[in-house]
Amino acid sequence: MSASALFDSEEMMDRVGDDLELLEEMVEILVEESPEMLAQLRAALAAGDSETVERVGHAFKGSVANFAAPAATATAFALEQGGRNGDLAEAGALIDRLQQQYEELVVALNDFVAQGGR
Amino acid sequence: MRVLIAEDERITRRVLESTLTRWGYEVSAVCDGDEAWEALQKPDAPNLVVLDWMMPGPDGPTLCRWFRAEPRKQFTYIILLTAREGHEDVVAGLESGADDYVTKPFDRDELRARLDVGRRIVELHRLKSDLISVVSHELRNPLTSILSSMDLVGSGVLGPLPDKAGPLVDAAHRNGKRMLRLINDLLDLEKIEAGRMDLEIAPVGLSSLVAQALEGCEANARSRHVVLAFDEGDALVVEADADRVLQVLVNLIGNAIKFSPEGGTVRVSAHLTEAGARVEVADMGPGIPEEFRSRIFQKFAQARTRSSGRKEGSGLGLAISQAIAEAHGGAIGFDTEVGRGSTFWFEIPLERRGE
Repeated sequence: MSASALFDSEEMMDRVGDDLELLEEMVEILVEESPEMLAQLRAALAAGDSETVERVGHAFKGSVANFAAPAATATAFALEQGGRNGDLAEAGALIDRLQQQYEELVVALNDFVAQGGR
Repeated sequence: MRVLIAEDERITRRVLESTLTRWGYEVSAVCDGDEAWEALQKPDAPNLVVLDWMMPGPDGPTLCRWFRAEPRKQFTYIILLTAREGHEDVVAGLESGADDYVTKPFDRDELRARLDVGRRIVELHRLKSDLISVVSHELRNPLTSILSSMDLVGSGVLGPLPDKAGPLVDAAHRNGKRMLRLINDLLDLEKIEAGRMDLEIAPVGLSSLVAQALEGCEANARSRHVVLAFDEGDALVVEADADRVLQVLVNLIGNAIKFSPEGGTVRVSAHLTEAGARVEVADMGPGIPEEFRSRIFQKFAQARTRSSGRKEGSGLGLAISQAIAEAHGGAIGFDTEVGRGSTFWFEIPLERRGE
């Protein structure tokens, strides 16, 4: 998948005021936090804890939205909504998809930062 | 200007911190609702606050409700952060006491503009408070001196006044006193809004306070051909600030006189209830129109009097009376019937609790 489909670089840079250092820091936080959030989602799913799925899905959504990443944002939002409605039928597949989208996003973002924001 | 940010999601928090700092704000950030509440409670908390809607602990709207439930020394402008794809009800957010909202992920220019509005409003509130307090004090001191001089001249101890001068001195004195009352009301209002209504509590006989209030209102009642009556019920001693309770009584009796028909009676009574001591002031006036009832205790709320058809006074009396009653742990209210009259009551507990 091409980087341009994973995040909207123009919108993202707009959001951080073209501050590449800030973006780098944001990617670091993303890498630090996301595995833990994904683990929380899986644990919550195993426990049938839809409230935690909603809460962590919401947080994940807010997190990836900062990078103007529509696909990952949509998946996290679907998880949040499922959790809210107490419906975890799709949650397993959604978490898998989110994990993959997150990993692709990190690769693309690191690449973007390494290229000096181009 | 200092800003408090409460946001649980780390990346958004970092972006906000970094962005607002670059815009010249002095930023402090917390990461959940409990920490936000703690930060908001501090006496020197920032007056500009950005609250995430959904976070662990109390959420944004809950924090707004808690925060607005108590009087504050300074005005604080609160912006809620809501998710664009979310379930959050913006109207409910604003009704909880927030001043504005921004949707996440936020547009930088929009966030900057909305923060700027908040900053300007906070500055305006500061200016207003300073202005009222400075102007009121600067007006009050010379006015007090004018009034005491007028008193002296009017009393005749400096020598007799020419016949025509007497009424003029009286009018000047009367209007000066009216001005002083208005200034005092404004100062009280500032104190109430700032949560600085300090009470000097001591045991005091309620009947003697009512008698004092009636005496003070006697001349006013006579000039409007209204009779004042006191049904002295139970002998009640309350723990209260005598001056403040007297202020409430004078205000309620003054209002009753103002809305009484010529030849009407204003009846004051005091008795014991479950809630404590209750004083009632009943008039035979026109009653309170339905549409005015819900905002009668709001500041600057005024009804037109029947006699003059004009609005009289500052419209602050009942707002101040309510604040005084509540500061005592009591309550104020009214029963009214259009065409029959109104009865205003206020209750204060016999003993102060939880002090």
